[in-house]
Order: sequence, then structure tokens, then C-alpha cells
Amino acid sequence: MRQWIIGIFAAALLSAAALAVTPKNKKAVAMAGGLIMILAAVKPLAELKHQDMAVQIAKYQIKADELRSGVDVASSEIMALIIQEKTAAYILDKAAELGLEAVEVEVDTKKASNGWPYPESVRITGRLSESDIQRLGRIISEDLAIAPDRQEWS
Amino acid sequence: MKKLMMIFALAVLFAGHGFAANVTDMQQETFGIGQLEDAMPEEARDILGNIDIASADFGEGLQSILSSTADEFAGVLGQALKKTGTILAIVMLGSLVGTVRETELGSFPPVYMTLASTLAITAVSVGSVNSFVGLGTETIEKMMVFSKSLLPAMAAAVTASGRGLGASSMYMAAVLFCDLFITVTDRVITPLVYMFIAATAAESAVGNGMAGRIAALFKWAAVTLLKTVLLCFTAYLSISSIVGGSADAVAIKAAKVTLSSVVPVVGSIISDASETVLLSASILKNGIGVFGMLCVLAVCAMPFLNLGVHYLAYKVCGAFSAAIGGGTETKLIDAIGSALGIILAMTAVCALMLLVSCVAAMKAVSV
Repeated sequence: MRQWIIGIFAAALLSAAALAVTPKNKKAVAMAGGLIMILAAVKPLAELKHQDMAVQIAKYQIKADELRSGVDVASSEIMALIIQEKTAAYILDKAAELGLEAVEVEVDTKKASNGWPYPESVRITGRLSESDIQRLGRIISEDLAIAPDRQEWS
Repeated sequence: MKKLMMIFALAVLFAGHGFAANVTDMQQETFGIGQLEDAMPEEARDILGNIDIASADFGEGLQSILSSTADEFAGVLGQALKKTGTILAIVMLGSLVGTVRETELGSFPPVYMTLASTLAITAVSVGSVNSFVGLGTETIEKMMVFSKSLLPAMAAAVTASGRGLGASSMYMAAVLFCDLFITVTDRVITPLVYMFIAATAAESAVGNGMAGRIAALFKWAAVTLLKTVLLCFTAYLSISSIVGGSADAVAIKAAKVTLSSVVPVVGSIISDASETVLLSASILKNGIGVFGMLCVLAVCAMPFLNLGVHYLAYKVCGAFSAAIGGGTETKLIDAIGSALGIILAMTAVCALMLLVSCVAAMKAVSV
């Protein structure tokens, strides 16, 4: 930076001195002086390393991608928790409709190919008869698409 | 009204399930809201107090900034008048001595008279220009430090509200141009301001026209550079927002189509969960935007007032100086005013870049 400023001032002084000692063709000298000054002023631009800039831009891109994937993962986890809670609430609601009480429900989610979580399996705990299990199990299979082999009863 | 709408939105969000409150808490942690609140600049904290990001009110905050600026106005005006009064006294003295000499001896004032008044004005002004350059660069640095927490938080909130690609490009543009801008101001514009004043002082002392043209070149370069950076930033942000926005819209449409093909109950549960996440993120996104804008404005308020009042004072002083009869001195005073104008513009461009980023983030609607 210091060199750049010194360079511009040196060019300005040189131009002024040349202009002062020139008896004729002052215009040509002034033009040459102006050109020297412009060259001195734009010198830092010529020294810019384009590869460094490209590396810097690539770093920003990586940082932006990392940020996005981090948020996507976090959002997906939050969604999974909401889905687990809402699915469990739905099952409890249906169990209450069937007259089943003291039932505990735990839902597990899995990520679909599009990255969205969905209710994958369910664990139901409570004193349930075989017919209760069949009735509630059918509702879970039909409404929530959780197949019987992914329903755990205890 | 805005508060009522916010309360209504939160009520809708929380009415569905008690989990929503946790969603906001979890998202606040994901977006780094805690770090953002900690990064709030001291000046902003003094003016705005501790703001809750989720319910930040722009009107209220702006009122606090304006009233705090108005409180300081008289003091700043007094300082500016004192400084320009001294300069005007120097011009008046020089003009008086010149007139006496002209009347008594019948000759024009010698060169050393102009030289002496130029030196005196430069001596009086250089200190304040230096402190104003310091004020400008310090304000920019504060904004940049704050932006390191603001921009990622905002990009995270925009991503979570369903505009991932738009957020990435917005974040890229803002960070890239902020870094570029700090390099340009530090390495090019600030030295150009000093060189502009030095060349104008040389022109006032020597008066051969050459230094004046050099000074004009420096001023033009500084102003053009500022305009170019702002123009490139706006263009880049606009283009990337359009491209990213279209891609996001396609992704959202695809997601909706996928949801419609799922078993109704499951589809409704997933859709509810997705909406909860998106709505909560949108509320936080707007809160972060408002918080960011208020902080930037609060940081800039006093420097803008200081620079703006001094800029106007120097311009008025230049006009008075011309009326008194100061020729070369008037140009120098005017140039010092212009230098303050460049510093003001430099700070304003930085603030504008962050404000535009905040508005762009808040405008990214997805729910």
C-alpha cells in the first residue's frame, strides 16, 4: 500500500517536473505524465492473484453448503420429533376411541429418499387383549401405513 | 399492529401442539441466535437495550435510534461550528491582511500569505479528517464483526424456511462482497481520501492546476469504486436470488406433490410438521432481519450524524469563505467537506449492503 501511494506521488512529481522544464510540446508531456500516473494507479490491479480469488470464492461456497446441510439436518430432526409426537397422539386418540386406557406409545421415524422423515415403526405398551391388538393394529396399518411387522406390542 | 400479527402467528403456531414452543427454541439454537445476541454491538445495545429477536419491533427500535440521535445533535453541531468557525476565522484573517496590504501598499498579497492560510486550514482540518476516517473505518469494522454472526444466522433461518438455494446464494453474495468491501476500503479508498486531501492542499498552496487535476482523479476513483462495489453487489444478489428462488420454488412444488401421494393421515402429519418448522423459521427469519437492520442502523447512527453534520458545516463554511473572498482556501475547505462526504458514503455503502441483505432475506417467502 505504502509503495502504491509513493508510486503515484512519484509519478505525479515526475510529471510536474517534466512539465516545468519542457519549453515546447507541453501537451505531449502532460499526456505522457497522465499515462504514467494511470499506470501507477492501476498497478495493484495487475498484481491481483485471480487463483487466490477463485479459492476464496470456493471456500465461501463450501461454507454456504455446510451451513445449508447443517440446517437441513436440524430441520429434519425437528420434523422427526414432531411426527413422532403427533403420530403417538393419533394412536392414543384411536386407542381411547376403542376404549383402551393406560396405553403407552413410542414412534420411530425414518428418512425417506427425499430426506423427509416418516413414521416407520411403533412400540405399544399396555394391558391389551389379542382382539384389541388386532383392532388397533389394523387402524395403525391403514391410517399410518405402519405394517404389522413394524408394530411391537408388549 | 405488527405485534398483534406476530402474537396471532405465534398463537396459531402453538395452538396445534405444545411442541411448537420447543421448535422455536431448537431452531434458535440451530440458527445461532444466542451468538447473534451476544454479538450485538455495544452502541446498538446502548440505544436499543436487550431486544428479543423473536419479537423485535422495527418501528419501536427506529424510534429509539432517532430519539438517541436527536439528543446528540446539539453537541455534534456545536463541535462542527467550532471547527468551521476556526477555519472561517483563518480565511477572514488572511483576507483582511491581503486587503490591508492591497490598500496600503497597492500590491497583491504574496504567495506566502496563501501558503500560510492553506497550511493553517490543513493543520486545523487534518486532525478531524483523520479522526473521521478512523470513525468511518471503525464503524465499518464493527458492522463487519456483527455481520459474521448476522449473515450465517439469517442464511440458516432462510434455509429452514424453505429457501435453501436462495439462502446459499444470498449468504455467498453478502460474505463475498463484505470481505471485498473491507479490503477495498482499507487498501484503496481510505488512502485515496488522504491522497485527495494532500493533492488539494498542494493545489491550494501552489495553484498550478496539476495537483488539482490529480485530486479530482483521486476523488473520482474513490467515488466510482464505491458505486461499482454497491452496483455489483446489488446485481449479484438480484440475479442469484432469482436463480435460487426459482430452484427453491421447484423443490417446494415437488415436495407438495410427494406429500399429496402419501397416505392421507401420514401426509397430514408430515405436512403439519413441515408447516410448523417452516412457520417458526419464517417468524425467526423476520425477527433476525429486523434485529440485524436495527443493529446496523444503531451502529451507524452516531457516525452518520457526526459525518453528516461536519460535511454540511464544511460545505456551508466553503460558501461563506467564498463570500469573504478566500479563493484557494475555499477550494481546500470544499475538498475537506468532500473527503468527509466520501467517508460518509463509504460507511453508508457498508450499511446499505447489510440492510439490503436483511431485506432480501426477509423477502424470501416460502410458507
